[in-house]
Amino acid sequence: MHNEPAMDYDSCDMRAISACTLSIPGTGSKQRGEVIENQEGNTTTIQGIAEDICTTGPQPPNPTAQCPIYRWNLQNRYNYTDVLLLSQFIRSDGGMLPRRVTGLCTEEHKKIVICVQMAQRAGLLPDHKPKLPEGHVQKKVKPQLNRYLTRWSVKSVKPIYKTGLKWCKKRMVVGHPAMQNNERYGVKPLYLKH
Amino acid sequence: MSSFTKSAQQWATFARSWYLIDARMQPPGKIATMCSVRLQGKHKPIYHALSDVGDHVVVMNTRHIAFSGNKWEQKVYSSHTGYPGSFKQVTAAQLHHKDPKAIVKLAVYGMLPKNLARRTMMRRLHLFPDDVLPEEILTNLSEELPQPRDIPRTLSEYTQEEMESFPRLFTP
Repeated sequence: MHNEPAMDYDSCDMRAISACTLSIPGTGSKQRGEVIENQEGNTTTIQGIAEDICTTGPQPPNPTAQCPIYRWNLQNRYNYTDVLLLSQFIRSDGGMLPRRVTGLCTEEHKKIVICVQMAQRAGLLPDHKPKLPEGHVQKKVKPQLNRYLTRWSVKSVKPIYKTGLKWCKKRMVVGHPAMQNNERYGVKPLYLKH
Repeated sequence: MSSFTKSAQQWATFARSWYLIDARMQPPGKIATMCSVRLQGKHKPIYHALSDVGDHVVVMNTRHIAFSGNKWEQKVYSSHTGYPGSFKQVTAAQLHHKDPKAIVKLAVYGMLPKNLARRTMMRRLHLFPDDVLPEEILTNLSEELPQPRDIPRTLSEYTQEEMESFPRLFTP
């Protein structure tokens, strides 16, 4: 179950090569496995250490479901403002984690992608931006415009010069139809075409 | 009320009050509806269209307005001076860059009744792009109105305890 790492002769100190979290089926306990390499002179010692993790903290109310959102009963209950939830599915540079890592089902993955895009355009994830190369100076100062519920990317949208008559009006879209099924506590339907 | 003098009651009903609205991260349309209601005087039980019972409204931080959707790029403001070849169409972003008060001003102008009293009501609307207000207006203000939209919190505004107490949905 432990990974076999490649031999590395560069350093002379202890280094952790790889780590993984495994859950033992049947017992329900979790172990954190680490492979540590120790080099003293000519001899290289590779150790595999397994530590038990006590998973205290809140447990999912529906542990038998496949998708993490269904496990926590959050389907149709989150929005672009729930940044604490969305930040668990993104990398530090703002990119999404792949579905095989997060374990999300297809529809929920798509909804999370849409919500993350809306949150990034609204400026709710300021630390998850791609790193610019060092010494990069921005020539043009971009205007800081506040926005929220933006469906399309800012650069891809063209102005509506002719909106048309009332029966064939070109509407400006707000939000995303994927959020149509979200739980609403009021009577008003989701107003997408402004 | 029986405990007030007649003159105090008269002052309280017919005085023209000054309201303050903070437009930071708010949609300009919702700000404009609140403004137009108070400029016409429709929030008062003594309202009549000919009676000129509107109040003053001060809107600050109009530079930090937030449009929903892609309206900054899609919404187009058109104008024509009447001379041939002078039809100008400007996107909301360009107009906001030129004049940060124009979007709120045009929104309120369109929401007021289309009569001769509209111009006097617009004179009672005071717009400021930032939260720096002159002394004369600060002394006149009587009430601040609540913001129509709840501003969502960014990830950096959450405390470390809140971020830790939020359960991990999956383990990588």
